[in-house]
Amino acid sequence: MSRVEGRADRIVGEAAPRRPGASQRALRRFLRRPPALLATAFLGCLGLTAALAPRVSPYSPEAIDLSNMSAPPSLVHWLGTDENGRDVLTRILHGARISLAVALVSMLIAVTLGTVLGSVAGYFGGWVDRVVSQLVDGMLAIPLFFLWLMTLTSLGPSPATIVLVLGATGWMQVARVVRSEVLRVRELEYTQAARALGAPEAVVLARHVLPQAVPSVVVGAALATAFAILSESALSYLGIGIQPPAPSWGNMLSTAQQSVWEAPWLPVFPGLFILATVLAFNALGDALRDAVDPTA
Amino acid sequence: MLVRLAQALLVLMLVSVITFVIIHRAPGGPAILADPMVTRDQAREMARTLGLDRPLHVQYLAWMGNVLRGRLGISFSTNQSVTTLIGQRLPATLVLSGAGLVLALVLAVPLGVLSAVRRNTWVDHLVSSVAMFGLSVPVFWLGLVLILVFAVQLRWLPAGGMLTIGGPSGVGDRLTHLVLPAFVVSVFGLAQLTRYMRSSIIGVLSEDYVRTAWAKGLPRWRVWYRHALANALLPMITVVGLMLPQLAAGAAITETVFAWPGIGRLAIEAAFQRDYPLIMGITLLVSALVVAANLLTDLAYVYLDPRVRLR
Repeated sequence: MSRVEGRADRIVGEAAPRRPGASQRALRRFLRRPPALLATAFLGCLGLTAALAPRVSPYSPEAIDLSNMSAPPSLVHWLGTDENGRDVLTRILHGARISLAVALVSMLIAVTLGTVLGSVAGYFGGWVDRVVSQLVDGMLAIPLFFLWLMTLTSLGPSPATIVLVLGATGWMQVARVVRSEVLRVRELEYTQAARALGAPEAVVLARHVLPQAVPSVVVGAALATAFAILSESALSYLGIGIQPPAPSWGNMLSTAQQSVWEAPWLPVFPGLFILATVLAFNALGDALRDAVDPTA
Repeated sequence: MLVRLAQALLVLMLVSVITFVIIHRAPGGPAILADPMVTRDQAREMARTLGLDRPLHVQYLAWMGNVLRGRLGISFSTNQSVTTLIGQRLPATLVLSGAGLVLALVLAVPLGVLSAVRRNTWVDHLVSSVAMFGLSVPVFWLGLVLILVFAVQLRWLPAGGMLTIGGPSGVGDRLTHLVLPAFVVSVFGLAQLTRYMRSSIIGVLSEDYVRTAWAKGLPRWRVWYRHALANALLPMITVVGLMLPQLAAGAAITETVFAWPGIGRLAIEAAFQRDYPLIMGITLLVSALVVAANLLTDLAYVYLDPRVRLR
């Protein structure tokens, strides 16, 4: 593409960011950002190795080897072994399966809830909107952590309960964004035209209004995943998340803390994986937002 | 104003009902009843004295009635009054989260201003990257790493607790114990506030009154700090209000990492013990504190910015 064409393209793009082809330009803007590419590559590699963990690693994540406890990193055990002689890298990869699965499923629940509630509130307005908005404000105002604490100790911590708890309390941001997007789009001419042509409200919402909210939902999904990974690891660290011997990034850290004086390298690696993964999802969310809405 | 107050009370009501139903409907009872030394008859007798055999709504109304009279009940596991237990632990938590909040504010404002006025330079990129790091780092792991570096390796600061037991218990000793946990508590809010501060200043810098200030030929520090910062600080009040639930959660987790004798650790212990009155008391109190603080930030905003009116 010549330089002149490129500039014209950008000028037109700013004047009408939603004309057909806008998504291709958004993709191009996204791919031009090094952090976005790095994050995508990292998450891709992590997802792949985690999915293939049993084939990639020669060790078992749970078998105890008392002859080889708390060994420092070496060529045999790249990240060392833990206080029960288990290979740390193997446990991190198996932990990634659980942590990523929990985060992604709870994100799906949260995004679905948020999209449904947000679009219903924005589209129908009136008392529906008031109830949903009150609910959002109320849930954002209370320290949900204490509710998680109680719910998980009462119902018993398991991947299913964690997913439910995180999903049921993580939808508010998505609902807010979807609501304001729907409020904006439902008054545009083409939506009114569809209505004037006799399309039922449900069709107008699903075919003409909601597709416009997809970019903001995708951004919200990336950020919700980052938050879910942080929350799950914190809960597992406190002992009310994923239960040992099954490895999760959080519960590996809580056992590592007890041997922090004898084996100070143990807490380092699981934490680095949490940090890198959350960073990648946050960077992805930021880059997606910039790509979809270059003015922000 | 009255509407806001009513909304806040409604939120607290709902929180208490939800918590009450969840913990009482959960399978398995309080830990003291599951003690293997207690026979089934004794357990039933204990449940009756504790009032656990009554219908749920009766139990809730009885509990609520006591709360309105300022009584939070007696802890199942320690037999002490919940108010006393909370009273013992609350100051430590307030010190920790207060220090964290102040630290976050004090650091975030200059960092955000710097990042905004040096927009798209290496300074801005550095500040933004550090903020991104702060948003992504797990608090408990950051705490562990800081303990590793400053307590285990360098031996500069204590690894946990609020003061040296049997040691010199002066202000200095308490401060050295506070440094690491307060920093850990502040990190998430610090990152959030820096990002908001940056975009808030960038927004304000394109306002007409800032252009007027430039046109008058004022020195740039005066434009930045007197004209831009003053107006960019206002929306931060709301952001701080919205940050408070996160702050409470962060403090609770940090207390566990640093063995800080606060209300967060008490809540975690109580939840494991299924100590109903204690959990209910803590959840209600923390929620009330956060909701009240939120209400105060709204009021402060209206007071400071005459352009805003409460609905």
